[in-house]
Amino acid sequence: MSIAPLEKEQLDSETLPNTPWVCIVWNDPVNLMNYVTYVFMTYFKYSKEKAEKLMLQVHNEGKSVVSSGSREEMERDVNAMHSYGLWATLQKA
Amino acid sequence: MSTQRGFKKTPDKEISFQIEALEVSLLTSLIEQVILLLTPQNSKENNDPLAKMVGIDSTAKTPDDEVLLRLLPDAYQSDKQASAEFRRFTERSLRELKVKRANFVLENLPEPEQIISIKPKDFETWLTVLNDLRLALGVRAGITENNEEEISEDLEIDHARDIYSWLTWLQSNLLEEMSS
Repeated sequence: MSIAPLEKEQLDSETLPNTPWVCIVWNDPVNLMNYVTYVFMTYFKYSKEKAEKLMLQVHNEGKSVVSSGSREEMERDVNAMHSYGLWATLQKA
Repeated sequence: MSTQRGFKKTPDKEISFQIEALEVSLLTSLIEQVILLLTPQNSKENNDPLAKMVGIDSTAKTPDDEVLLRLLPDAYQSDKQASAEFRRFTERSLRELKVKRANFVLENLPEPEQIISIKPKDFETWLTVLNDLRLALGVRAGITENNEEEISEDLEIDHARDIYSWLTWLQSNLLEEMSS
């Protein structure tokens, strides 16, 4: 399968609704490591292994992309992370 | 029989909870403060019943208070306009959810000497409320990655850090029992 290369302008979310967005969780000094793992497993239904890997990435590298999808989906994920008290933002991938 | 302190998984998969009288009053006061902080201000502008019903708050803006900002963070790192828009559509329901959970825990706190039993469906409510308390206190006590155990010369901050450590112990205890 071949995909035609896209011009950069076309990657704007306004013109291309399917442009992927990502939900990023940032490190903070309060949230406990096993709590963050719990949230990733509970909300995203990730395996323990995947949840721990993402949690460690947040902890060691300061942030981690925890999900991707449409802007609306990522807004939903960010809102859910905020309800758990995690510090999350969304942005274009 | 030994006295139990904190959370403990029971044979019927619930979690029992018992704390001392002083700890009950401490939790009560902390939760009440967070509820007060999170309760949406019912000014004239944001009291439109229809907007309220669908969870829109046209007056929602990035909080000036550091604690509120930590409990209700911006959704976009470097896009103020998008963050503001996001707030208008989500902040009211997020505040309401947090207040609802806090009220639930407040109403179910054990009396001194009493052991209460928490049902599995309510584990997460307790967990998230303890987390919100730690987030709030963490800001007030100036908690950073490495200073949790440090002793501050400011007595108030020192006291806040003691309470923070206790809440950390309590939340870790609940997490452990949930996964046991």
